[in-house]
Amino acid sequence: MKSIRSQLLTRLIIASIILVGGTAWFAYQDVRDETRELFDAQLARSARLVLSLAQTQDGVSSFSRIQEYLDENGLAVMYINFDAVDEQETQQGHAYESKLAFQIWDNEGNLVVKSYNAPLEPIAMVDSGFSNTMINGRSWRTFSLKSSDQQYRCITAERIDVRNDLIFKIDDDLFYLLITLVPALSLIMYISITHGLKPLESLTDEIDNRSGDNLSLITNDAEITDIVTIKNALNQLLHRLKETLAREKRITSDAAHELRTPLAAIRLHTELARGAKNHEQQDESLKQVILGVDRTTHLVEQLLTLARLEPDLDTEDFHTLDLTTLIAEECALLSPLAIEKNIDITFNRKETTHIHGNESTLRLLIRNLLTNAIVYSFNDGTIDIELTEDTERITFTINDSGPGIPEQDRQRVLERFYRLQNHAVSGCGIGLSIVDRVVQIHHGKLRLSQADSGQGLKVIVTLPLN
Amino acid sequence: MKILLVEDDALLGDGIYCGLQRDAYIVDWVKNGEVALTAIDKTSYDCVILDLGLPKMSGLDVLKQMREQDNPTPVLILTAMDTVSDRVKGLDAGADDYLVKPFEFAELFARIRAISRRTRGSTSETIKYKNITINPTAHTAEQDCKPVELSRREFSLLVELISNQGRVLSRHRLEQKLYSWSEEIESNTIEVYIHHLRKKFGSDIIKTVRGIGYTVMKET
Repeated sequence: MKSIRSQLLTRLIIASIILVGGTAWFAYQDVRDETRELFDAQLARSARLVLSLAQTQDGVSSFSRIQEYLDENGLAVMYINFDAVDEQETQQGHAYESKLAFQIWDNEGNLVVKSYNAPLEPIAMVDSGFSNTMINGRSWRTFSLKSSDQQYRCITAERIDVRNDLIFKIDDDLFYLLITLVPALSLIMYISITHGLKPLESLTDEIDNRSGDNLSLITNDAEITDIVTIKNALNQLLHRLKETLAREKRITSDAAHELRTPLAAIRLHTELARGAKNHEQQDESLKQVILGVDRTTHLVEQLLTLARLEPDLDTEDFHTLDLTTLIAEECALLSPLAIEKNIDITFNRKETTHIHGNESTLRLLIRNLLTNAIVYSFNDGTIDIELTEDTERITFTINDSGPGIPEQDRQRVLERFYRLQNHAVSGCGIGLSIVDRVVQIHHGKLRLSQADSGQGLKVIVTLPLN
Repeated sequence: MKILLVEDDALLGDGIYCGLQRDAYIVDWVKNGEVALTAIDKTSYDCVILDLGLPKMSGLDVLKQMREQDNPTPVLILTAMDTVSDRVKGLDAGADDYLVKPFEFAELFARIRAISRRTRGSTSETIKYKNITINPTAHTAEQDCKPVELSRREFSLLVELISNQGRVLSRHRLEQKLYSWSEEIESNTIEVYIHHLRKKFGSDIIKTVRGIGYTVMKET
């Protein structure tokens, strides 16, 4: 696992090394080329200067005078002990002068003038322009120039190591500068990154230091956009988590409390059975015990169903289903219950009604609504089921012929454990919560109203098609 | 002793109802708060067993309304809620005692007896009048330390009269105390039971106040 800091540092240092190296390479190339051109230009200018000096004086005598002067002063330069003065330049000259030479030849091939360090043979083979040559085992750069009257040829020469010395000197400096630049840059980057990551670290510390059950919001007061973004996202998550936990806690608590009533009933009826004076009394009490156990079992089952519906259902479990078939099948399953009460169920349907949904939860919805309709309908009643479809939604309607639900209670019956007063049927108050949950999972709507006949309950479930 | 049971859960209500009846209490059972208020208004009960989780009108509301109308009938609350704040809420609303589900009959009966003791202003389990000792727990009565056999209604009638000694109780009131709604009251039954009691304890124990009712003279 890598930290942001080491990742950033590694990348930035590699990038700076590449950039600095690249810069150094280009600088080196540039310095070399420019220095060469400059030296070449100087070489050419010296040749022109020497020729022009020679030409203003008419005749050989001027050359010999130049030669005389050069011999005297050139030798003087030669004898300066540059090592002793520890400097390459003095008021008399420069140590590098020994690395510069020139010759003037006339067109008959006589060497007219030469610098003290120039050889007696021509130092350049070419008639004009630049060339490289070897003299006494050393490389020289030469330039030949003919005078305008074609009488003389001047060759200026310079030892190549002079220019290389300079190039290396400049490059050396550049190299040391760049070599120190990389660690300096790295240090600056390290400090900046460390400093820049401080708010993130303090946020981490704040989260690290809280106990597992602390879901209070993060109070980090850093005013940095990224940190605030992370903080807000985390706080939103914490808020949702808190709500979910509170809901779970409420369900557990509600469920535990709801179980207490049937448990109390079972306990009391058991006591009654034990203290019964005759067989009939005992039998009656035991019947009630069994009833209580059945009711508790039903309650536990419904609670489990509801609990399984609570987490957001994975959309992978959604398939294209035929709702008509599902309803028909559930009707068939529940028909014995309806026959027992002589209830007539009619299903107004089309051939197929396709919907993208979750089969098991949709079956649960249909079963719960149908069971309610049958259980609450009076004997010899009717239940009308209707399934209609338009371009946007499917509407599933069940009309029963039971007592219905008063308007003021229609919202509350969807709450867990809410039961209507004076209900003839013992339910646990979870069925409609389950239905409501399934409808929510399918992004639909659940509505309760008065049955079309005016007597009974009408449940309308609308499910979107997409 | 006449008790009003207010419990919406059929199974639990049935259990309590049967148990109380078997323990010789006279019980009226109602299933919602509104009916309970009417019953309390019309009939005099010795104790109300009130479930808090009632539909429409909660047990707490029933209790508050009772106390607002200055009804002093002792109330024993039954509830599934067991936190301290829940209990405090119930007791503050005017309840006399609090029982958390599930519970045993023994505890329910003990609490009813405790309530009735407090109502009588006595700390003793038995009620004494002259040479008669009544034990409401054991449903036994003794005269001069000799047990006297009493039927359920005879016993209730004796307790009612002795608990209200010095006061004249009308026949109607005694009938209400002796019968629950579900029981048919035959005419002259009170006279029959008074006659039985006089035969068992002596004719001068219960006085007849003509045109008004019966009374047991205050013990001097």
